[in-house]
Amino acid sequence: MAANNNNSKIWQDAVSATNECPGIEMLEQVMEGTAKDPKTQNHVATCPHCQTELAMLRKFEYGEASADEGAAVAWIAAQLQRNQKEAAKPVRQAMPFWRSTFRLPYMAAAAAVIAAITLGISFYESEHFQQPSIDHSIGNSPLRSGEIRLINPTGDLVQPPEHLNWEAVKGATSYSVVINATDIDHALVWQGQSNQNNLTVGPELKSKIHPGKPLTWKVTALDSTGKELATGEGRFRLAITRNQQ
Amino acid sequence: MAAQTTIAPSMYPLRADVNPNRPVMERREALEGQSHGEPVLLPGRDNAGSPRKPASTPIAIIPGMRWEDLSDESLITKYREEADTQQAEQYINELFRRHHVKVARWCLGFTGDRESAADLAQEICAKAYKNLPYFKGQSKFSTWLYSIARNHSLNAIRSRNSMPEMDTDETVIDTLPDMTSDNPLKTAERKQLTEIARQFVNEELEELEKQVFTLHFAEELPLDAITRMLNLDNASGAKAYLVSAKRKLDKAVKRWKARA
Repeated sequence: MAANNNNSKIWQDAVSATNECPGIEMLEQVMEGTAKDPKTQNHVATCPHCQTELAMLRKFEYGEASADEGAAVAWIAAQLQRNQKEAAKPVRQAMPFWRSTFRLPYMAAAAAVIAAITLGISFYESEHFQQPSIDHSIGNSPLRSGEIRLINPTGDLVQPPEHLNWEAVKGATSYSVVINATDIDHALVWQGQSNQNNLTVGPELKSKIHPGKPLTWKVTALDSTGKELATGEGRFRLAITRNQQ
Repeated sequence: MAAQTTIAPSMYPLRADVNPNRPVMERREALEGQSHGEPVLLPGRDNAGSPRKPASTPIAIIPGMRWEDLSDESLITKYREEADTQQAEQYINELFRRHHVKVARWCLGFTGDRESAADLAQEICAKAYKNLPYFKGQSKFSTWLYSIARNHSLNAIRSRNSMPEMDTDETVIDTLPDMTSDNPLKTAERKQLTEIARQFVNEELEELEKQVFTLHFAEELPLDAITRMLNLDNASGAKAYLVSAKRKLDKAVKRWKARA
């Protein structure tokens, strides 16, 4: 069974993306015939993954609906157009009768009365009540409200990080960590949780950290009810070594 | 859906000696051969065709820019420049309208029925609109939109089919050519075997077989979705291509082991 899994993993890896696979921008150039780098063109010619991606991109750009799909495609496009128009319309609601009472002349008079009452109350209170004071002992954190400082990894790295570390947040019982690519659609790379202010980078995450590809990581501190207390965001990149250039 | 011609409001300063009352088509014809957007001084004429006296105040009109004359990237630039105005929304609506058919066709290929495809397409367009600030112009807008559509629809299909047809998978996986035992590279690392397997896939399989194999094993798409996506109209759809691919790879692996 283990040997079988190993064998199927070999075939799966053989047709999956590698570090050498170009991004979608380069594939677009290959499709349009404007790619200048022969290395990219040679790679695409020998990579089943890239060839499949190219075929799908071509299909999206230039494909045509078959005879029996044409009507369905037109219907869907019309739905999208209609939804777009609906979203653009300003929302107008019929004014309820009680709102029609509060038209401008009435509103102006009501506002004047309220202002007079408010002023009267505030003068009275200032004479008779102590002003509340700010208790500086609460929440004495050096961080700006709502922000977590990410300690490492940051910037260019010589080797994949072993841990993700960040400053602890008072009141947090767990932290959510999300890592995204910085390419054109910010694809999710990995996500996890920790109940401490650090996380060990396991083999699954390490396998997704490719040289030269920058990543952003975001930490969200949560309290025991799941309420978000603070967030922090950072970037890092595994540097390309000479051997990989 | 055919693009509808809409005249964008003029955005150039007024100039003298141009009659704004001149019919639009006549003005456009006069502009043929002019460089795009360059203001043109046209003698005013009344309806009878007689020359009109020059106006005492500047009343020029510059040719209006048509929506279809603006590229996708120009629409995005104008949208960003004129953010929070009603005009900006018109730019972005035109931009997405141009690609509705592409997104619709793509989604129908994934789902197979128009209602689910419409929902999926709506999600993709909403996601693209939300992420528009991240579009850096490193590729065409349509390529960027494809990337969103691709990732979103693959995730949707995977979550909908979290257990792909197990009998087919198990049958094919059990009989995939065995690269690990009795291989010529006794101490070969898995990386080397992977590279050899990649070579076999690239050299032995036809284009459609390669695509079916890749979409099924790398992207974990179920065979019915692959059949729809690739518009395969043979009797067994993607399964037939997968079986054929497996047969060819079997032969290639046997030849490789025999050579050792």
